[in-house]
This record gives sequence, C-alpha cells and structure tokens, in this order.
Amino acid sequence: MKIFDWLKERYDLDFFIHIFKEKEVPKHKFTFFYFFGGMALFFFIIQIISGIFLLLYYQGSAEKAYESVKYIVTKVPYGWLVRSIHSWSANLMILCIFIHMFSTYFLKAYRKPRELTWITGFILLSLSLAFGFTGYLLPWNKLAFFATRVGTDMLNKIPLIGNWLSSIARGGEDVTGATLTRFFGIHVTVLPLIALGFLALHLYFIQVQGMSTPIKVKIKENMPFFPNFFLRDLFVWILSLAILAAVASLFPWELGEKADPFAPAPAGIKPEWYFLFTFQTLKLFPPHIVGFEGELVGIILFAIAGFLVFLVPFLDKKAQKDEIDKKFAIFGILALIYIILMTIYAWLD
Amino acid sequence: MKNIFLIIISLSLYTFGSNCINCHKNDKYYMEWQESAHFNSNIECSICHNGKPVEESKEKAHLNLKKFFTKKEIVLLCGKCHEDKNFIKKFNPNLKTDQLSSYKTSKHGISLFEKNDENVATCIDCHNSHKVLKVSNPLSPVYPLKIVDTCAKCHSNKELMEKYKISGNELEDYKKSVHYDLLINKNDLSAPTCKDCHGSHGAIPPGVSSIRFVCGRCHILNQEMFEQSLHKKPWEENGFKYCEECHGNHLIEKPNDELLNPENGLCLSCHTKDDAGGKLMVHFYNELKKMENFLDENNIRAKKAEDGGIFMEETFINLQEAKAKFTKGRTMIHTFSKEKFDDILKEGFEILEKEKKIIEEGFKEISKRRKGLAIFSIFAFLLAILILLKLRDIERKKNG
Repeated sequence: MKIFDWLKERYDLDFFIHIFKEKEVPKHKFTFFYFFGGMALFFFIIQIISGIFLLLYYQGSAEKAYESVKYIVTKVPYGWLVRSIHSWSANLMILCIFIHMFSTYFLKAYRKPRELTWITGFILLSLSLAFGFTGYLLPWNKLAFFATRVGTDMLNKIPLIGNWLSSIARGGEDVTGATLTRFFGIHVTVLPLIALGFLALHLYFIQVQGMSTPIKVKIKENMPFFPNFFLRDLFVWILSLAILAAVASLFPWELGEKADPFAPAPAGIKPEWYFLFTFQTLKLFPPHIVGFEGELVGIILFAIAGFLVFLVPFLDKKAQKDEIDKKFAIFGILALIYIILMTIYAWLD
Repeated sequence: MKNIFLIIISLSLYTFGSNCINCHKNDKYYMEWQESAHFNSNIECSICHNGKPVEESKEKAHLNLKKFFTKKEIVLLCGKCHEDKNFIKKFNPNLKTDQLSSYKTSKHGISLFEKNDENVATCIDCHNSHKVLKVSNPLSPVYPLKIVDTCAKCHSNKELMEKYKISGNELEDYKKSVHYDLLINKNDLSAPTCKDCHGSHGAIPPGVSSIRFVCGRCHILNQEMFEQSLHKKPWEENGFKYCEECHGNHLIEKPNDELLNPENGLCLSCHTKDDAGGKLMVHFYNELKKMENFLDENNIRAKKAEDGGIFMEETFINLQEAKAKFTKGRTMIHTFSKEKFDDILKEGFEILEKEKKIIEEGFKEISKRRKGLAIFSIFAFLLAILILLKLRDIERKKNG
C-alpha cells in the first residue's frame, strides 16, 4: 500500500483506480463470450514470453534456422516444451481471436460508440494472421517452405504491383534465405511493435467504454470488474494454461524435414488451418472468370469481403439505433458456415 | 554418293515441298508418319517409297513407287540410313549406327537372312512402320514401360513360339518378377526388361556361361562374391546355370530369407541339414531373422517415441544404416563365408544395441514429461478450485 501511495502522490492513477473500484461487467446469458478476448490476450502474453526464450537460441538464416530449432527441441533443457508452447499457443490465440470476433459481430458490440474497438480488433486479427504466416516459415522445414512459396505466390496475381510486392515479401524472385531473414525480422520486431500499439489502444477503449451489452438481451445484474470478473478471468486463464500445457506436452509440435529449395514440392501442401478456407476457395476457382485470372478474382473478392467486415460498424446503421438488422446476422452465419465447411473440406482434401 | 543423294532429296523436299500431302493427308499411314521422329527430321515418304513427290500429277509422282516391302527389304531399307554414321550424326550425333549389323547377329536376323524365315521380328515390328518414335518417347513401343508387351506380341504367342522351342511363358513369368514390380509399380525405368538381358537389335538368349555377366551388370557385388566363393568350381564342373540356378530367369522373385529356411531352403537341394553347407544355411537364416526382428522392434519403438514427442531423426538414420548392414549381410551370403557374413552383421547388431538404449532413454523422457504434466495439472486444478471458492465467498458476502 505504501508503494501505491508513493505512486499516487506522483502520478494520476484515477484511471486504474476506476478500473479496479468502479468498473462493472454486465451479467447476461452471453457473458461467457467476454472471456475469449481475455484468453486471446493470455495466449499473446505466452507468445511473447516463449518467443523471447526461443530467441535465445534461434538463428534466422537458411543455413542455421532448421539446425537451431532442432537444437532447441533436442538439446536445450525444456526447449521442446517452449517451442511446442509457442506453436500451440499461437494457434489457440488465433482460434480465440476468431471466436472473440464472431461473438462481437453477432452480439453487435461494434455499434456506436465502440467502432474503434472493432477497427483495432480487426487490425489485431490481421496482425495475428501475419504473425502466423511469418512464424510458420521460421523453422525452415519443407512444408513451411513450400506453403510460403504458395502463399507469397498469390501476391504475384495482383495486377501491376503484384511482382513488386512478391519480391518485397520474398527478398527476391523466389523464397530463399533472404525471405527467411526478413520474415524473422518482421516476426520478432515489426509485428510485435505494431501489435503492442494496437493492443494497448484496443484495451484502452474497452476500459474507457466498458463492456458492450447485446441488443435486447436482459441484463441480470452488473458485477464488479474487480475482483468478481477478474477472478473469473483468472480461472479461465488457468484453465487455458492447463489445456496449453496438456496439448504442448502430449502432442509436441513437429519439426519435419529441412527445407530443400531444389527438391520438388511434396504432395498435399497446405497452409496453417486458419488460411485453409481461403486456400481451398482459390483452389476451386476456375482458371479464368470473364477474362480475368480465377485466382485474382478470388483474391479481390476476399479483399472486398475483408474490407466490408472492417467497415461493419459504419455499414450496420440499424445497430447504431440499438435495432437488429437480420441481414448482418444472416451474412455472419453464412460466413461462419462457409469458413467451417471450407476448412473441413480442405483438411480432408 | 548415297549421302549426297539423300541430302539433295531432303533439301529439295524442304525447298519445294512434297506433294504427297495433296492426296494422302487423310491416310492413316500419312497421319502416323506426321507424329514420327522422321517427320521432325524431314525424312519424307519418298526416301522409303521412292516416287517423285515434287511432281503434281499422280502418275508422275508415283513413278517407281514402292508400296510394299518384304521383311528383308525393310531391314535393309532402315539400315541404309541407320548404319550410315555421317548421315545419322546430322540428326543425332549420339545415335548408334550398329543396328543392322547387330540385327544380323541376332536370332531374328539369322533366321531372316540365313533361313528366310519371314516370321521373325524386323524393325517395324518393334518401332512401328510409319509412327516411328524416339526410344525416349513414352509412347514408343520400345520405351522401357512398353517394351515387354512389344516383345510379348510374338513371344507370348505359344503356337508361334512352339516352332522355335520357346515356351511362350516368358512374359507371364516376367510379370511376376521383382524386376517387373520395380518397373511398373515403383516406376524404376532402370529395372531390366527383355532387351537389358537379351540385347535389343542383337537379341539372343544369354548362354549358361555368360548369364552371370548379364546379372552382374547390375548385381556387381553378388557376382564378384560368387566368383570368389568356394561354389564357383562345383558350379562350373556341373554345368550349373550360375545365378539362374537359385534365382530363376524370367520369374525372378524378390529374394527373401525363406530361401534359407532350415526345413526346405534352397541349399538343401545339394546339401543335407547336417553337412557344413546345411549348417551354414541355418546359421545365415537364424542370424538374419534375429537381426530383422531386432530392426523391426527398434523401428516400432522409435516411431512410438517419436509420436510421444521425442526427436528421433538421428535414430532413424542410424537404423537405416543398420538396415544397410542387414542388406549387405544378405548379399554376403553369396560369399558362403561365415566369417565375412558375421563381421557385417556384427556391425549392424552394435548399431541396433546402441539405438535401443537411446530409444529407451526417449521413453524415460516421455514418462518424465507425463509426470510433470500430471503434477502441473493437479496444481492448476487446485488453484482453479481456490479461485472458485474465493469467488463464491466474495459473492455470498455481497449478497448478504
């Protein structure tokens, strides 16, 4: 308490005092979904800690990347666990972000005055996918190498600037050691810096504006954020940690074979599960659609869809008046079904 | 002179064009020729069929036309260009020009030229008449994947083969062999087909004394070992057929250790169970079985350890090395020397013992990890319960 008083004497801590003393969380039948944001944050913290540990041994070059990860998982004490935790928590984080985003969408938490919370959340989702894409290549194994080649190849389809963008991403014409080096740099410096900035904004907006209550949902009562919701959050975090520890130690993340740029691409190259639905969709597109390359049309359609989702708070006029527009709910359900079915299809294909 | 003549014809056709197409463009043979290697090299109809393709009227163009050929004529006609080094090298400097001379030494050629036997295969029976494709073309009848069926067109005709005292079962037998399995199922184009043992243009069955050299072209070690073994002398004295004596000819099955089975092993056709040869066979069999079981056991255990999250890449590499020793041990049987065989297998057993210990270490590590997880889970569970209790306590107090 003395430290707190010492700090209070010097700094304005009203904001934090407000969070701990006055902030309340509405209690209703969908309160459960509030936890997914916190779980995503928890996995992000795990990512940072395990990532720092991995950085102690990882070497970001084509010659040493695979060997260094091999060293981590075989020789470094508990290196296998740290690497496995890093990979598993990345995937669990993205899963939580998806659930968090869809629950926010269906509960219309993006409506006024929380437009910017949605926007920053959307950016954080995009950054998480970028984290996943860049991190996937870092062990420099065969599957990651060819999946990255396929992924970066899509940039080539963009008219006019496609080749330029692809060569910027790859650091040359093809995926090489130069690609690995820049992906490593982006993964451990650029993305964390940007993500931390947007995360701070996202959390700030939530603390300032509080939790949104869904339209026409009966509020049972409001519970204090501290300690009631905080302890619930802590309970969920401990469960998340237990699940993470179980999957990471029972199913350690595989390393696979070292990438060989001169070897033919193995059959059944697939990206990480969160890219599967886009990958499968583009695969099913015909080679040409009304004179345009099929994949290009697919990429443009995905870009438009992504942009529309980004702008949802401004497009859903009814939500701003606390009214439900069924069109948006139907669109969301269809998108969710489509993503799930396409992911399963790609998985089985 | 002939050279100059052919070049002039080729050039004139190239310059002035052939009129054959005017009438024959829809003919089967003309269309086939358009797909051939000859078409791409501007070897026109008139080079084989004579005539004057630059003439526009049918009568003039067909002057001296040769429509049909006897088998001998076909061989000599193809040979005219294909034995001419200077002519052939204009199209393909690497193409051999010994086809005609080789053919004349073959069973086919001898029968044709010395016995006037018109049943024998000539160039067009294997290469087609008009649709002559490069050997490297997968559609060519002499491409490795197709040549067996091409030879079988005649050689599986039992009625025809009876005249030559050939069984006609060769194709049937070959298709059950390890070589055919490699060729078709493993897509190994280097696997031997008919021509690799019998020759192509100079096709002739290898004699008893030379069969070891035919097999030895690929199975070098086995041949060398056998040549230096104590079996060479009795083999030669008794006129045994070297490799074929144990492995057969067309139906060569994948060798397996059952060839050494103590009850009915191959060696028992000359040896008894109790003589030195019989005992050596049993020793080979027992040691190979022991090592095979050890290898399988290690591979299964290593896979389980890998599934449990232990990095086993190096172990798998070393197990591959042990497998190589095992395979070499099998090959060493051809030395019929217990010492040489045991030396190789000993190296393999040493690797297997070492890897067994590493795999066991892996299982201990898995067990340690599971225990760690269990302790952590109990701790997390207790902590979660404490939080819930605390929460219930807080909310109970609040609600009064």
